[in-house]
Amino acid sequence: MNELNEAKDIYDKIEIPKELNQIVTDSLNNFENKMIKAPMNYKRNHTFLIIRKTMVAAAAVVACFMIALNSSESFAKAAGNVPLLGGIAKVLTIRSYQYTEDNMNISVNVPAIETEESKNASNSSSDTSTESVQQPEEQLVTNINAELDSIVNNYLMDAKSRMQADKEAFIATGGTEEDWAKRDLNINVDYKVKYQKANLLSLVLSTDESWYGSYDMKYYYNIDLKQNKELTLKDILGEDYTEIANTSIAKQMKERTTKDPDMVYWGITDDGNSGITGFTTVTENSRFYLNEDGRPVVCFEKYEIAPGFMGAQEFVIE
Amino acid sequence: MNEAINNKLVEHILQNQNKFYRIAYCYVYQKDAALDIVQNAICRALENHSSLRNTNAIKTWFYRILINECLQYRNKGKREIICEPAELREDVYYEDAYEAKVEIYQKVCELPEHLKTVVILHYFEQLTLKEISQSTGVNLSTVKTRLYAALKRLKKDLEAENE
Repeated sequence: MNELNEAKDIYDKIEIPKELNQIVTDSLNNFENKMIKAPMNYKRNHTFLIIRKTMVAAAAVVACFMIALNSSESFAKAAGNVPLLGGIAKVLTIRSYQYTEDNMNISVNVPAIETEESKNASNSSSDTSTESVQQPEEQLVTNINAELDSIVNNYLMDAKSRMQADKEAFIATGGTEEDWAKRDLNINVDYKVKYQKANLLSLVLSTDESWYGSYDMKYYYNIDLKQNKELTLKDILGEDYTEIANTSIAKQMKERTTKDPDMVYWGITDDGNSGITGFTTVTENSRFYLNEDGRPVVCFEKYEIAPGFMGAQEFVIE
Repeated sequence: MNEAINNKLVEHILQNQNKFYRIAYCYVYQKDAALDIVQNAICRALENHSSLRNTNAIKTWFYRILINECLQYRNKGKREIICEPAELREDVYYEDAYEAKVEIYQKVCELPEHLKTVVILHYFEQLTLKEISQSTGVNLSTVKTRLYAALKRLKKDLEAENE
């Protein structure tokens, strides 16, 4: 059929997108890299299995420890006497574990704050056998610790169910169990002590999942242990904190956009063209931490005040 | 491992990527979808290249993977893919002299999938019927039957159009 040979002309004219070559070479390269790593992967999975087993045991030990800590005074005393670094308060990793479930690599470090008072309180209460009255400062710390704990637990549950839902969708759309198992999925929970001097403590808890960039979350805690309160920008910058912070942030935004014209801060440097409100003002609830110099660093989540490619944004208020 | 086969496969993919793209495009009529399919097919081929023993079979073996990917993509995305050959009018260079060709081409695209595959591979990609049989996993006499059925249908459609 001659006409068909002519129709081939049209077929041959199907435009080849210029991305094609890139995609093809990328796919080939990716695979080559995987091949090099493959034997190691096997080994790693093997160790993970061992780690997983030991971690289950370790988690059990931690659980026992915590139950004992809460239920037995003498145990609490013993634990309290473990020599620790000085200072009014310290942040301990109360739980730390890593394990693999399906092919999710889960790595968790849960912090908890311990104050001198809480240690003394547990000591004195056991010494004198009097009823331990929880001090208000202890109450704050206990609340924060409980909050940290529940954030971590809820997050892990959510993350796992998100992964599970994704897996179901993957299978439902023709993926196989084997293909799924080839994916490296990571769930991480970690914390950082940003500042700790005298009675001030600044702590950031962060959670992230490798496949869900937009689920990255950070929780900020700034505590004045003497006054037993969580600090706000107002406590650090004074009454005029909104003006000080807003001026400083707006100035830094402009500096950054002049340096890199690709950057945009909605509502500030886009002349209102984006139609997105973006940054307006800091409030008492603005998230921040204290940097090494004790200066507040105001933080914004990805997408909050700028396009996603710019990631999370931080501004040091001098 | 079969490095020789692997190298041959990579070479084959690099040389024929445009062909792969065109075939995929004929199934989905969408640039991004077609690129996805090609990418998936490459991954699948690389992952399973150990099942390929004979380097001479690379060509048909890869077509088979590609066509499977195309069909899978179509099946899973039945709801989301807007598949309208009519959209092609914008995509192809279009003037009077081309009209007849475009018309036939469109008729080919409108064929049911199993017939379309045979026509595309035979007339556009110039595979022999035997190669098509290997590429689609359908036996040779069925390929022939399908090809004739397809031609008959095209003829009928074109005649109906011209009357």
